[in-house]
Amino acid sequence: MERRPRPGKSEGVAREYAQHPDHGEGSPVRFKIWLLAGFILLLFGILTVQLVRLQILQHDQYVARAASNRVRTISLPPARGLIYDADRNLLVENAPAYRITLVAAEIPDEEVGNVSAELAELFDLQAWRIEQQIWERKYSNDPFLPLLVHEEPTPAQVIDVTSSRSTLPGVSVDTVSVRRYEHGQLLGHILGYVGKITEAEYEELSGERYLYSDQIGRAGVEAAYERQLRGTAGRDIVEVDAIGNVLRTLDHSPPRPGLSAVLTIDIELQQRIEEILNNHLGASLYASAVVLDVHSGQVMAMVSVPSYDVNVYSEITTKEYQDLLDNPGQPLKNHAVQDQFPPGSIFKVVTAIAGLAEDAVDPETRIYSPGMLEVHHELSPGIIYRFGDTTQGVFNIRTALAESSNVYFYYVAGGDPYRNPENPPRHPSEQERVDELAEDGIVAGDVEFDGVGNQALAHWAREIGFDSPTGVDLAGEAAGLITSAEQKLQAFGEEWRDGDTYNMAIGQGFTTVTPLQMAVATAAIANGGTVYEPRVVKELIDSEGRVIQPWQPVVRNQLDIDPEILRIVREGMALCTLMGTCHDALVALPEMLVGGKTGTAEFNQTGTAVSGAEEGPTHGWFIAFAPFDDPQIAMVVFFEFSAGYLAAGAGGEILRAWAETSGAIASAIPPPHARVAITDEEYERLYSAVRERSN
Amino acid sequence: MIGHSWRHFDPLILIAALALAGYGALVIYSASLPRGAEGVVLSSAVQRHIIFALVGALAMIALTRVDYRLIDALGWLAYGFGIIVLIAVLFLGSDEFGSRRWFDLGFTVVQASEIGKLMTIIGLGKFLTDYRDRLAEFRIFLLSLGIAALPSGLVFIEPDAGSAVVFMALWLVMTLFAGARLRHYVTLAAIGLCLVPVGLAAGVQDYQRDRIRAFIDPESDPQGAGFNVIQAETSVGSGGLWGQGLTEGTQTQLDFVRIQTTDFIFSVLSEELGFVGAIALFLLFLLLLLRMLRVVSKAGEPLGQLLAVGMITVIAIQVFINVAINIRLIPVTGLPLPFISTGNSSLLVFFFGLGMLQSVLAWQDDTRRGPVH
Repeated sequence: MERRPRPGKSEGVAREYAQHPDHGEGSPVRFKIWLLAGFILLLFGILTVQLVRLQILQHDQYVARAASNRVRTISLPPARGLIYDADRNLLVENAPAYRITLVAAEIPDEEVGNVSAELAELFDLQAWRIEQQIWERKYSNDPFLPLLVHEEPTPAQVIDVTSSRSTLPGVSVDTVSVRRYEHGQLLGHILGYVGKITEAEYEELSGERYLYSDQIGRAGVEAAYERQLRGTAGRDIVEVDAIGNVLRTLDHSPPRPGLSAVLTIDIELQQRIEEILNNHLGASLYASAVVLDVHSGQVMAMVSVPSYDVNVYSEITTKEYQDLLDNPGQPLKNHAVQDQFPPGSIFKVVTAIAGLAEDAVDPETRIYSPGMLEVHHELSPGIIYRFGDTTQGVFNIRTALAESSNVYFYYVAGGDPYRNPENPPRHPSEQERVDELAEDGIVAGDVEFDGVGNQALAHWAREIGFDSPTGVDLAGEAAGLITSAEQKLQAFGEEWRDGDTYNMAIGQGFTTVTPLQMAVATAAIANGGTVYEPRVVKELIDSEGRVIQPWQPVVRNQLDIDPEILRIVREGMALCTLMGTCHDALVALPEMLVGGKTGTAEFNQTGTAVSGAEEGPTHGWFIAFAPFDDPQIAMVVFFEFSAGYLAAGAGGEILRAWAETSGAIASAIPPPHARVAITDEEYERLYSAVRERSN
Repeated sequence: MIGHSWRHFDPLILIAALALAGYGALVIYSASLPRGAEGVVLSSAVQRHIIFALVGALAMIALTRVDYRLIDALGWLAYGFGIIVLIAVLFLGSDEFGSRRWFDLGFTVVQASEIGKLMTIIGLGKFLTDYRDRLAEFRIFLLSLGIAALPSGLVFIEPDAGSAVVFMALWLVMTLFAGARLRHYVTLAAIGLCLVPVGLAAGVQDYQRDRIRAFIDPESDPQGAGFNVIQAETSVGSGGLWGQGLTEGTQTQLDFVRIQTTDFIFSVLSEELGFVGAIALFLLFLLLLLRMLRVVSKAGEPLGQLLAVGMITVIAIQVFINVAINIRLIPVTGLPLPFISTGNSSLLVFFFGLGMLQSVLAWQDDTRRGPVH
């Protein structure tokens, strides 16, 4: 097919172009082609170098980055263990509750304003604040981390949110579990409560897989048994896509629920004791009582009034919390465990044990009390300290316990004040009387009489559990204090004096104890010398009720002591209820012979040493064990700003509450009839009756 | 006399282009695979890619028969058409991602800048051929700049900064090839430098500023503009030597890589087919570009040469920019990867351009030596 060359410039151009010397082999055109080829190779070279860097040299790093992109760990919180009373009645449950949360990454940018406005209206919040939080979270390192909108929505709000899913993208209703306590007020101090983990705790417990949103035990059993109650969190390792949808589970380890705690607490007894304490509170700001099983150390009841309801504690307002803090009765404090006081005369049981164990006195030793003891100041004998007494006469160790003779125990602990050569001689008339008594074999003004001394007294006090926490399974226990001469020197720069020993003998001076320590010591006296660690949790069970950690009493110390000594102390305590200062306990429970001891402990507001020679306001104490014939329980009751005989009355009611709830009252052997006037014959009759029943 | 000869048809250009388009279809297949799909599911994007590649191949062959020297007569018309298209898209184009770049024709969308590029090659080719003797005049030099700057400016306001850069690269390479004076560039650069601050203040859009910032420090804003850069880079890096395997890339399949069938298709390819897959892609492009360079040397007259140089520039620059964005060498500007990315108009235009070069080859004898028979 013939065709004419196209008209136009091109033809001529081409012809002309080809003949041009620039366009042949080795011409600039060829050079430019090479240049262009070189440029292209350079571009691809640059790309290849970077590819080698990314894909070959830094490959591992990018693989890790890609993995962290798509793999997410979802923590599966375990169900927290429950708490039961001794009869396995449920005391706490994990109640479902709702929470409104939002995931910022799931809210499209253009919806942020609408979502914020709608949430603000629903929950009465400030829209700009929500909006700000959403944006911050959106641009944070973890935009999928849920944001809490409202912790406690009303049912209506939950329905509102659920029904407006379309206008509230990213907002969801989460079901969470909250603790609901039965007897939240009655058992508040024992159960404790849980609270959101703090940042510091989260850091500290980083090894234990807590979540930033986890709850942690804050007080009581919830805190003490946190590890056991909490259980083990499970986790899902899941693959997610770019918008956070879970595509598949790569690994699953289920959560293991926590163990449940069975308390040693007898709810009925606890309730009755709470009533008794409140009835007897009077002018006292607070009071507490503990009932221990003497054969195991189990706490059958522990009450501290005023109390607070742990159910409201988790949602407490600042005002309510401030009210709790400002309440002079310190309701947040468990006064049975977390508070310490001078024990006063109840400490004489310890002095008695020390005196007998160290052979300073024997059961036959009789000591005369003139109603006080005078100690002259060592440097200026003109200054006389009077160590008072509420009784006078001649006492043996049993009657001294029964009637709470101070002088008897001054002697037991510190000996005769006149044995100190710096003490000026007795008044001649006094000396005459003393000599007369001495002829009858009565210790009175016997300069040869040496007490056990403060060190031996402190030794026996520590042996029976004072000066250190009892080890009870509750948080925040106070240790109490038994002072030594060194400690006094260190704290006050003063030498230990006889007067300090006298104060110590009657539970005054520097000595402080917790009610629980007192109960443990009383239990040791009642059970023959075994000092138990008290427990409020009996056993740990799993969700099917199988016992995982069975009851195991913990013996803290076994007193190395002649059982007869404790028997003598118990007899003295029985006589206290029959003829002594504990009489009000007998009045409350006339059906059962029990052993008791009152204490009226002086205190001053500053909390510094209180001397027996001073007069001050007093706390009321009463310790007891029951029944006398076969001790089952030890009990302590304490009233702030009260007196021992008042405490004994309340204590008697507590003993009655125990006797009735346990049924022990049915088999109780009544105490011997006691007359009001106590003659020597009457004492002998009562003593024989007690001695007969004591074992 | 028959000036046209099939003898000169370069099958390697056709094969390389089809191979690239096929490679593209493979990667698009993986990138557009619905999650959890069983077996092979060809999305409409894959199907269209294949169909348009085949249509493009036929068009290339058909264009071979058309004398490219029609440009001599119709070049300005073509350029004018390109400019009209670029202006029209600003008013009639469909809005997407905040810019007007596309005509929606119902059955497909047409990216105006792709047509503009081809027409600008033609316009510049015609102009530089006609005025090659007067190129030493600064006025003519400036006119050549105007021919490229007009479409460049139009795409810039779409806004499409990536294409704007391509137009300017086109002008630079074609005028250099045509033999423009180096001192003219220096003069121009000096004037340009003075205008940079003005341009930055007026012309750079917020989204571009964001992109530049995201490129410089992508970690500062991992979920915003920086997200794509980081994820693309992560995809490429995690591909390694051999890749995760087609359809096996977690970055791609779990949608961490966005715009994965267009701007970030290279990261999909690199993640799933690895360094080896990327080098294979580069080799295919190099084969194509070298065969196109051969057209320059065979053309034997300036128009054909310039058309080939223009096409080489467009392809080389777009490949470079697109890949460099994916591997975090330059800031994000949305440019498709020639033959690989979805985008039917882009694919067709590249085939048309190559058809034009085939025409240059086919008519070489005619232009150089006159009638052979």
